[in-house]
Amino acid sequence: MTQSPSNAQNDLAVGGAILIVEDEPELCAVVRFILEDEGYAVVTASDGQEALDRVAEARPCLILLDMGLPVLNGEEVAAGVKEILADPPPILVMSAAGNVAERARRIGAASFIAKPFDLDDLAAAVREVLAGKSVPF
Amino acid sequence: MAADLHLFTDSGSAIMGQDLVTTPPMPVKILLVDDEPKNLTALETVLAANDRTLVRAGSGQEALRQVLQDDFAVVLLDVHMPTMDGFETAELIRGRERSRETPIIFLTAAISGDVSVARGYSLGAVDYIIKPFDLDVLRSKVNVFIELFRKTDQVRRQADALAETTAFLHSVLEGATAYAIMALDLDGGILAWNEGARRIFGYRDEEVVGRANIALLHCDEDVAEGYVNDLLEAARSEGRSVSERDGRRKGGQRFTASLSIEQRIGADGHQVGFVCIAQDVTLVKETEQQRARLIQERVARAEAERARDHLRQVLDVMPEGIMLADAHGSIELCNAAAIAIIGRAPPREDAWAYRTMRRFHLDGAECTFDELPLVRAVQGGEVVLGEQYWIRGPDREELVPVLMNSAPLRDVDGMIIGGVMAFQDITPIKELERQKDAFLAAASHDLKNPLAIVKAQAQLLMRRAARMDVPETAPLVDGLRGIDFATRRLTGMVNELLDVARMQMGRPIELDPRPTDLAALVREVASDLQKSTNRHQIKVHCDEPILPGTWDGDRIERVLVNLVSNAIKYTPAGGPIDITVRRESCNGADWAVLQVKDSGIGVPTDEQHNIFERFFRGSNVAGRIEGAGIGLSGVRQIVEQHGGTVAVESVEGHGSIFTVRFPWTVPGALA
Repeated sequence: MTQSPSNAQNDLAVGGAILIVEDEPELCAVVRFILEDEGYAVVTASDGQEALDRVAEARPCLILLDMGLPVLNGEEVAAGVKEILADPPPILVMSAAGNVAERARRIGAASFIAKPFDLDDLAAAVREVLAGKSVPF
Repeated sequence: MAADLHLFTDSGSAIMGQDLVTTPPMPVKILLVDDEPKNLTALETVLAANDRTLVRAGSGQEALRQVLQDDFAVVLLDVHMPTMDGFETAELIRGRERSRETPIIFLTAAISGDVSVARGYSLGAVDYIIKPFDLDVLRSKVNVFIELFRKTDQVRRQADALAETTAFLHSVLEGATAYAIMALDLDGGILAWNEGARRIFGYRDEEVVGRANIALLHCDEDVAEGYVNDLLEAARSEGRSVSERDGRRKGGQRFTASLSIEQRIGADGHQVGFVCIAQDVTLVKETEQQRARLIQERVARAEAERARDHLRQVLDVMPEGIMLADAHGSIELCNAAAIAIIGRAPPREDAWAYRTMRRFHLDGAECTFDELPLVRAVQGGEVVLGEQYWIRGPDREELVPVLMNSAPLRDVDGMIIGGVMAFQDITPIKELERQKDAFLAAASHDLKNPLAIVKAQAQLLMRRAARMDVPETAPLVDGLRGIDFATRRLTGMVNELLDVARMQMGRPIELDPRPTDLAALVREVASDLQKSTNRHQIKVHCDEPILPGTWDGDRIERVLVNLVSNAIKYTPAGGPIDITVRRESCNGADWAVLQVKDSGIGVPTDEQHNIFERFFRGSNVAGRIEGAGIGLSGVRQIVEQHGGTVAVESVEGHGSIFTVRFPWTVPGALA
């Protein structure tokens, strides 16, 4: 659980940290850097079970969820979150799967972004979801 | 009828009576009446013999008692007796019913005058014998009467027997009411007939007997054609003729008659006419026909059973499950493979027996009864091809994926008499599909994750470099931009590769509809591809500055790139390539229309319907122009998944026009 040291200008971070669930450490690091750069507090998890542990500890405001995860997959994480939290945070799915939209829809995600993505698009998607402006898909 | 009597001598001897054929002489009684016992004794002595019994009477009264008790062949009556003389006695004998005909011979000492003789005769005497007797005369006279008595008795018995026989025959003939029995003369005239004839033909005796000809009982056409005469002629020459024709009742009603005509031979051995026996065989005929029908049906059933058994044996060898249902949906036949898939044979008498099965669509929704392929085939005449369902047999836990085909069965008139369903356990195919999907997912994951890292790192480095704000970073940023651009192209290629793989596996691709400017997309593709050729002039015809809609832009771009690349490839001599893009309204809905026109080698007319098939290549390009033949089938799949169509018009040697139409907004996509 690492707080962003640099950024207080992003009001949206106030509600809690963003949980990044990604098993590729390099990608996880880049995404974390970008989001922290955008002023968000970020926590990370590298597998499904860890993700659920973080959810319980940190009560994140948004979960950025990779679907192809070790231990528990994205669907199982989404289901677990709903069991842990009565008011679960929105989920933004990021996936390399061909049917990412379908899978995101199935778990009730707020939005999705297909890998590989532009960092600007990712940042925009996070902003939209946190502002509750994500479009139905 | 006398001629027929001989018919009964064997079986009818009881009726004919033993007497007719008796040979020992019948014992007879003779009454001797005299008031003188010695006269009686003398008479006894003279007349005694084994074949007779001599009864003595000493007076007229006693004689009368005797004739009341017995029949006598002859009475020898003494004329002169005290109390009641011979004449008186004779008178009284004659007066009795029983002895009215009994012959009386008066015995008298002397003829005392004509008067008494005349009186004697008038009283029934048959003779006089004057005493003293001439023994021989007495014996011979008495013998005459004995003989006469015997003959008379025999005749009477014969007459009785004859009457009895006649009555018997009559009762037989009249009792045989199911048969018309007729005596005919030589010309077929009806001389006599029985109750059966009356009943069958409906005439009264006075209308027929002695008046009508057998022709009356036949139909007019048979008479006119000489059929009746032929029957008589045949009976005459061959002794008997039989036939089965329509008979005719009084009033004209016809019926099936069995007829037998036989010669009737008189006592002199000559033919005197015919005996005709007829029977109404309508019922017999019907019964026979019914029986024949039943036998025929039974044979047909057995035949059908054999054929069914044969069919079953053949069907049981087949790996596909086969079910035959009748028009009511009862399962008539279910082969071994079907039973293996379902888990048990459906009960035959239960209409739509597989109601007991649970059925689901591929998406998991329960399949209603009316949606079942076999039900649709039988009830709606629908031919169902290649539909996939999950089924679970009544005794089964697991769902089995099946591929179902179904069609109605029709009779020669086209009426639906049932249906056939062929289905196949596609568990292995499903497993293969699952493996393919898993492979695709893994391939997608494994290819895109590294790309995602490269892209994200490049972009992160670009951001950092930009923040440094020093001129030395400029070439670095250019290089990073090149990496970023390359990952974009690589991503596009990976996506296309995965799409191709999915389409080759016959799987749908996952569309990602987003707001897209079709005009910009077309111009960009045209401009990109123009860079690859200078022998072709690619021109975009678009009246609008922008054409915004919601589609999977990457896939539509791939469609257009495919079509334009083809136009370039199959116009080897070079020339104009015209791309038209426009919005069309049709039935209240907006459609996007993309058209690519070239002046190339074209597509042979008879191959135009095939060119969108997977792996198809035109006969005029195969071996001469490179290509795997995946392009146009991919074009079709993408367009169809957008709810659209693709078509080609072409004249071989003069170029082609490919036209793609798809709805302005993809069905199911939310803007």
